[in-house]
Amino acid sequence: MNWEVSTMQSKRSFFNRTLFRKNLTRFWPLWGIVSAVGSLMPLYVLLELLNGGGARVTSLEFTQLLYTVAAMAVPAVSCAYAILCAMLVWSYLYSPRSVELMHTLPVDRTCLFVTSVLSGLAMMLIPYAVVGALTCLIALVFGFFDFTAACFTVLAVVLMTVTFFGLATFCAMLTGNVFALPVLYLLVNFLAPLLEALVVTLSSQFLLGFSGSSQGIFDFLAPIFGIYENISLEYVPTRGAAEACYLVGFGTLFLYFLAGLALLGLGYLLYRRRPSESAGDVAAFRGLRPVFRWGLALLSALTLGYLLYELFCTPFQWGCYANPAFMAVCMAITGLLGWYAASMFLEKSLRVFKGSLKSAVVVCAVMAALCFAISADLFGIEDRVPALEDIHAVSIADMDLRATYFTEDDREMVERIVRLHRALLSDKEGLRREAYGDYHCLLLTYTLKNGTALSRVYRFSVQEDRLDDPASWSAQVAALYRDPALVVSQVTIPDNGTLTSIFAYDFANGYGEELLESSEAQSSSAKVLYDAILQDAREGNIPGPPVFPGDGEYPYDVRFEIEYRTVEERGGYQHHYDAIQLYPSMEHTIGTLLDLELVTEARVELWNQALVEQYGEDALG
Amino acid sequence: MIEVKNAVKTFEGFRALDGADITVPDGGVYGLVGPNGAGKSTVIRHITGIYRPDSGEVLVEGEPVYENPAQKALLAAIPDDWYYFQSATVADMMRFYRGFYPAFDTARYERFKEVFAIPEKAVIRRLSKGMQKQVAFWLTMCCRPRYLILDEPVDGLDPVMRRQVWSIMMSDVAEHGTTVLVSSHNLRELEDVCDHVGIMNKGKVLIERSLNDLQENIVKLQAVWKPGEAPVLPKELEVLHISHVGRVYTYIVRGKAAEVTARLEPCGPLMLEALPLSLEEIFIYELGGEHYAVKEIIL
Repeated sequence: MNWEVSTMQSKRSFFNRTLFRKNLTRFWPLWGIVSAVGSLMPLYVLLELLNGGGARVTSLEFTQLLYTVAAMAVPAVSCAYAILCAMLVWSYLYSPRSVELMHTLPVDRTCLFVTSVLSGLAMMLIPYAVVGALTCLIALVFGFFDFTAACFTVLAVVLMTVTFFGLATFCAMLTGNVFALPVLYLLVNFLAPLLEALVVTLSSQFLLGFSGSSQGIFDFLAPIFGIYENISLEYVPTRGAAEACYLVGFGTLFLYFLAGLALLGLGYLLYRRRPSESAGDVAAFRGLRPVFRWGLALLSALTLGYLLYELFCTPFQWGCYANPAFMAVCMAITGLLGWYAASMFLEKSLRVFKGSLKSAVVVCAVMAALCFAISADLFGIEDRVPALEDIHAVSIADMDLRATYFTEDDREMVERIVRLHRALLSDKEGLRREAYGDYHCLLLTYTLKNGTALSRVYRFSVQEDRLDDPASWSAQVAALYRDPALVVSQVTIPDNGTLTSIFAYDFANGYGEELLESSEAQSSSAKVLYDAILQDAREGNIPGPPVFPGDGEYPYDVRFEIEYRTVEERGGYQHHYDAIQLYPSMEHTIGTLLDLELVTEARVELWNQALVEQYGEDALG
Repeated sequence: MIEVKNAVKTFEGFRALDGADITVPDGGVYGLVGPNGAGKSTVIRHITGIYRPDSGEVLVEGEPVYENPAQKALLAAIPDDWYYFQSATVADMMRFYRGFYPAFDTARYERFKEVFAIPEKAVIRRLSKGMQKQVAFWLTMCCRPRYLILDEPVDGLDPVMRRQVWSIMMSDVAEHGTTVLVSSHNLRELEDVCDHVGIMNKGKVLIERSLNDLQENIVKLQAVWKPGEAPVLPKELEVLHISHVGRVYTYIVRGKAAEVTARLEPCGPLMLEALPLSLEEIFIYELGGEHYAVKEIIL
C-alpha cells in the first residue's frame, strides 16, 4: 500500500470506535455491577407477581411504579453514578503516562472528547436500559404495560443522565487529580445551597430575629435539589373510577438538561486548552489556583471558624448572640488554615509557609472583614419588615401555638402581626440581651407576593407591667393570643379547601381509642362535628395559646385530627392536617359528640373526673 | 523533516525549553543527548504533540504537529515509561493501536511474534520491565511510522534484544526511509547508529551536527614534551581540556586534526599524536564549557 494513502486522514473525525469500545470493555465491571444490582428491582417485582398473582396489578400501578422510580431514585442514582463514570472515562487525564499515550494518538482532542463523552453516557445508560427492558418485559408478559409511561420515563432518565454527566465532565476538566474530582463534583453540586446555609447560619449568630433557616434561594444551582423540588407524581381524577398518574416537572428537567449540555460545551472548550502537563495537579489551569485557595479558605472559615467559636468562645458571649470580635478571630485562624491547606495541595508540598506572610495577613484580614460585615447587618436584615402590600400571607407560631395562617384577605390580622413585628424591633437591644426571658418563641413567616418568604423568630416573655400600654409588644402579643379570631383561623378550612375526614381519639384510658373515623363516605358526621368545633372557636370556647406560664385551661385527653385538601394552582390536591384538643369549655363539640352517640354522658363524666384528679377542681373552670 | 523552531516551554517558572532549535533530517537516525534535566523528554513531548509550546513552532513535514491528527499519524513514539491499560494483553493493545494508526501492519505484527517470543495473551502488567519494553517496540514498529520517536528506548532490554531491536529499526531506516529520533544517555550505543547528533543543555540545543562533522571538529591530542619544559600552546587554539600524566599531556582541542597538529608541531613536542573522540568524550567536553565539567569525586 502506498504510504501516503495509508496514513493520510481523508476527513476530520469526531468519533473513534476503537476508543469507545475500549472504554466500554475496560470499565465493564462498573456498568455491569450497577446493571446487576438494578436488575434486582424487576426481579423482585417478578417474584411478587408470581407469589401474589399478577392479575391484580393495573397499568396505572405500573405507571406509578415507573414514575416513582423516575422521580425518587433516578436523580440520586444519576448524581452518584455520573461521577463514577466520569472518573473512569477521564481517568487518562490524571496520570502523566496515560495522558501521554492518549495525546500522542493521531486523533485530535475534539475526537477524544466526543468519544469519551459518548462512552460515559453509554456507561450511564446501559444499566437503566437493562433495568427498564426487564421491567417492561415483565409488564408486557403480565399485561399491564403502559407505553406512554415508559416513553416519559426514558425521557426523564436521558435528561437527568446528560445533566449529571455534563456537570461531572465539567468538573473533570477543572482538575488534574482523580481524588480531587469527586470532592469537586460534590462541592459544585451543593456549593450554592451550602454557602447559603453557612452564611445564613453565621448571620443568625449575630442578627436579631434571623432564624438561621435557609430560604433555598440558590437551591436551583444544585441540580439534585432543583430536580427533587420540581419533579413529582400528580394524580388527576378521570371520568372513570381510576385516577390518571402523570410525571410533572419536565420543564425543569429540560432546563437542567440544557445546562448539562452547556457544561459539556464548556468542558470541551476547557479540554481544548487543558495542558497535558497538568496531570496530577489539583488545579488543571493556573488561573484556578487563586480560586481554589480562596474558596477553601472561605469554606474553612465559615465551617471550622464557626465550630471553633462554638467550642471555645460561647462562654464569652452575652445573650444568645455571638461576639463578632471572637468570631472574627476564629474565622481568620481557620481561613488561614484553609488557605495553607489549599497551598499544600496545589504545590504538592508541605513547605508553603516561606514568604507567605503577606498573603497570610491578607487572608486573615479578609476573613475577619467578612465576619464583621455579616455582623454589622449591612443589608438591614434585622429591621426588614415587609410592606403590607407585598404580603400574600403570614403565619404565626409559638411553642403552644401551631402555625396559623392569615392571607391578605384577612387584612386586619395581617396588619396586627406586622404592627407587632415593628413593636418588637423597636426594642431590639432588650430582646437581643434576652432581658425579658424566653417563655415565648414567636416565629413569623411571611409569604410574599413575589414568591419568596421571610422568617423571623423572637424569644421573650410577655411583660405584665407593659400590658396597659397598647403600643407595647407585650400588650400586642397578649391581645393577639387572647383573640378568638386566632383560634377560628386555626380551625377554619380555606375557601379552596374541602373537609375530607375527621378522626377523634380518646387517650383517657392510656391508648388512643378511636371514637370516630370519618372518611368522605361518612361526611355527614364529619361535617356536623367540624361545624360544632368551628362554632366553639367563634364563641371563644376554645382557649388560645397561653400568654403567661400557667395560663389557660386544661384540655381533656381527647384529640381531633381534621384533614382537608386544597386544590393547587398547577392542578392536583394538597392535603392538610390539623389537630385540636377537646376542652371542657367546648360545649357545642361535646354536645355533638353526645348527639352523634360517639360518647356517652358517663364517658364525659369520666373525662371530668380525670381532669379534676390531675389538676384539681379549678381545672373545670 | 521534523523541525523545532525557537521552542519555549515553562513549567511553573522553570524554563524547560529555552528557545530550542532542532532539525531532524529525513531518513536518518538523530541522537538527542544531554544531561539530566536538559529538556530532551520535554522536546520529544512537543514533537509527539503532547505539549503545546508557549512560543515557537514544532513542525512535522512543515505542518504544526499539535492537534494535527494527519501529522501525528506519521509519528509513533515510545516514551521512557510506556503506558498500557491495566488489564490489557498484547493482543488488546494491538487492537487499540490498530484502531488509531491507519498504517498499522497486522502481517508484521504476526511476523514479530517470533522475534519477540511473548505470548499474545499475556497480560502486559505481569511481564518484566524488559518484556514490556519489547511489547512497546513490537506494537510501535507495526504502526509503520514515518517518524519513530524514542525516549530512552532500550533501557531494560538485554543485550541480545537491544541488538535485535536496533536491527529492526535500522532495516526500517534503510528500506522504508524511516526517520528515527532517539534520546538516550547510552552514548556508545548512539555512536553506532546515529547520523546526526544534537546536544541539549538547559533547554537549548548547543550543538546540532552530523556525527562525522562533530567528530571531525574536535580532536584529542597526546603530546610528550621535553623534561622541565612548560608546554606553551598557541593562543589561537581553542583548548577545551588539558590533563597530564608525567610528561604525557592530553589536549582536547576544537578544530580539525590536521590543522591542530600543524599548529602544535612548531612548539617542538617530542611526540604528538591526534586521536578521534568518542561521542561520550565529545558530550563531556562540549558540556564542560557549559559548566558541566566532570567533577572528581573524592571518597
